Amino acid sequence: MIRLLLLILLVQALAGAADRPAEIRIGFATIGLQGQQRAALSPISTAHQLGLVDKAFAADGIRISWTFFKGAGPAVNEAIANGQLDVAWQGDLPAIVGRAGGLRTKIVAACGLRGNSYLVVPVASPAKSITDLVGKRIGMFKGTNLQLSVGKILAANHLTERDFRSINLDTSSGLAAMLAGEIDGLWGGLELHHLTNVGGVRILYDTRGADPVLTRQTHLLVTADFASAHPDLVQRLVDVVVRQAAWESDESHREELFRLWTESGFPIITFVSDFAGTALRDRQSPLIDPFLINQYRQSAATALAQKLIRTPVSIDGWFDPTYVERAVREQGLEKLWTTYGEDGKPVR
Amino acid sequence: MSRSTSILSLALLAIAAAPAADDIATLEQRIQVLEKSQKDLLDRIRSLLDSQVVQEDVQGVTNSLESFKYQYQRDRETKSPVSVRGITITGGLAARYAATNRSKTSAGADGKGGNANGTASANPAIVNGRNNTFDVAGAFVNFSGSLYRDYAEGRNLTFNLRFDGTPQTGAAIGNSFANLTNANVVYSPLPTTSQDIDRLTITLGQQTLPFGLEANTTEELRPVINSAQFVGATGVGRREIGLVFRGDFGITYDYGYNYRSSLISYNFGLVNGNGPNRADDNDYKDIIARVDVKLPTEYNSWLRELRLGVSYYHGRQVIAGATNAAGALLPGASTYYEGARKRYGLDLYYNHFPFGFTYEFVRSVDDVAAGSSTTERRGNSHTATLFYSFGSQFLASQRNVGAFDDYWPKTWQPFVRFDRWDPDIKISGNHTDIYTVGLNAFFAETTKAQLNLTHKREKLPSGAARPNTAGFITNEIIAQLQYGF
Repeated sequence: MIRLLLLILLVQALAGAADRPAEIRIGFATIGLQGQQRAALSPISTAHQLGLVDKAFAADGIRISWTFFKGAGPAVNEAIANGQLDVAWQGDLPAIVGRAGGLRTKIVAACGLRGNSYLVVPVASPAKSITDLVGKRIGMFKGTNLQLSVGKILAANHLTERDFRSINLDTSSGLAAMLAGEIDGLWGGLELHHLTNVGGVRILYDTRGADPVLTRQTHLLVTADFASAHPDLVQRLVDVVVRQAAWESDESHREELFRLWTESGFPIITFVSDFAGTALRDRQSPLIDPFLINQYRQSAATALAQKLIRTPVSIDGWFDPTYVERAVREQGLEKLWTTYGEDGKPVR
Repeated sequence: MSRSTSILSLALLAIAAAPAADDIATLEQRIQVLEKSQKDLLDRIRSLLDSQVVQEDVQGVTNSLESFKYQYQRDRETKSPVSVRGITITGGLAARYAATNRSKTSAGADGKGGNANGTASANPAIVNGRNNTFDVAGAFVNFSGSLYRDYAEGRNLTFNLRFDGTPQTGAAIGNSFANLTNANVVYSPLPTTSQDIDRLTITLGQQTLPFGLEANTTEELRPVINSAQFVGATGVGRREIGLVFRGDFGITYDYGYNYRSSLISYNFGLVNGNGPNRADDNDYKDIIARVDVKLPTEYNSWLRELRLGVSYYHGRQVIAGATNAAGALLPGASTYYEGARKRYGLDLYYNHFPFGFTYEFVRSVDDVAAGSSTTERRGNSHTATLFYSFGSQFLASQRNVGAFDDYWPKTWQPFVRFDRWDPDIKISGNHTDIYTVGLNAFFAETTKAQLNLTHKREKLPSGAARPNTAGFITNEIIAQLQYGF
């Protein structure tokens, strides 16, 4: 009888090992400056930097492959659609468009919230507010999650894209165009803030301290196939992310965290300034709360209105908060992060 | 108050004010904390003092910058190519080995002249009994760049200049020429800064013809080493000089994948029709037109990259009058005629990673000299290719990832191809079929190794100079390394 039980256990163990993938393929919808394989701003990027995910799976002999896509969110979507990735970090709009196109994924954690948008102008520009640029040529990298954020910012200022001569330019082309005097302003993210330290441009508007609904959200997602085949591995991955998010939410780690992120190529002053006046725990929270879900719902509606997608896409069932909830519970972190309501106001 | 009383009072006061044992412990703890804080502060001050930038450091950085500026300027003047406008220089070369079961002889008339891979036609010096050879299939260098860049809307003016070096015919050793193949300027009258709007370019100069798939194809769609037979036989693969409009409309742009798809893509142009590097030989300007229709799908649709195209070329050509064996004009024949030169094309294209399929039909209609006048000759071609990719070479996302080393997604691509060319459909049993099976290995960014096995059956009718209704069979293996920079 004992031999039989041992045999069953052995077979089960072998079957479990056979089910495990030899590799988990994780993709980032970003890349460090000068093509460095480093990202910043999210707990998964720091976990990558510190080798925490690799360590968590090393005991099982599972290798982690990390890919940083220059093509950002759309490149991640292409890789997922062609079976090249199991896990990805990306922003809201590309994921929404991917879902509208039939990509089967699950968002398992928030992973970098309330990202800021910046509008920069040449140093010599006389403009003092967004409204001073009405009718002017403004560059923006359309199709990224920046576009949705800008749409909300303009709406909050009773403006639309049509009030400007909006030109689709990626960041590097946009900067070249602005420094050549061909455009009068450029929307962007952290990379523009970084350039204000270098010179040539100044910030005219940014979302620091503004209503959080104007900001940009990013997440960690897994393919539906991977989630259904390996829920235990997804949980282990989310455990690492939540533990790292807790560390990053500790204000005593602020300087150390920013210093780590400088490996992405940005100087520390960029992060210090971008995060000024913001609690770390609000930006590094992994919680899938009503605020996050509603942001994606609003973004899906905006994407449809702006014809970035052609058919309505449902957000229902896309988020799976169970992994984060379990990790938070087991790590005793229930009181660390604030749950925000749909309007961005704390609910507890 | 006496002195002794005062002393006593002070002693009592001191006793009363003296702290209890607990308080002493607390004070000691505070002192320890203060001492630690003091130590930390001193350490920090020392650290800050150590890291302070001093005048000597600034002077060192300044000196380094000056040295760098000098070295940069010197290298730029003495070691860097410099141009007035930014230029991108690219090039490529293909080296290969081919072996066939039919020996090549210079006589050729005995039917032994097998040259399925084209190596013999590329280098037909006198040969005897050759059945294998090393060969340089070709080399090119290409210059392209911007003549005017419109930063705001992308109405750019660009240029392209390309030279192709090919081995020359004849018995002389070592001959080769660098021929001018592309020489054109391209203007975009419509904005190009957005992906989701219509496009139009105008190309003036020497350029490829927008006819069908094969003549303009990339390696992704033509995995075979040699072009289909019709490309050379009908002349649609040669460069022409003229003015060609290329554009599209009905754009679907999938922002989730940066995938751009046009419902209609159109090409229209006027060219000399007399080939590259020479002026026209008649007053008629040949017309080239092509339209292809692609289903307006998003990236994830299984119909993505399904396209149907039609091409049309209408030209006039100068035809020398028919001559006898001695080279004299036949009685009643004119020295020259002007006849029609038409090409019709139909192509189907489906490239849905990792699977791909292309089919192309081409009909040629040419007036040819016959007796004392001309007659019409019609040729047909069918080309079909099927390929499959193992690896992610052809995914744009995978070609642009962050990597410290010389990373490139390695890909294996097996394929099969059928290629038939019938130069005159009025004559039955007068066509050549080439079956090819092969494998491409993409192992670096601009380098690939190719292996092709071909089976060629050349049927010649009973009236031909070397008739063979069953067909001459030539089997050949070609191994090629193609690399670019």
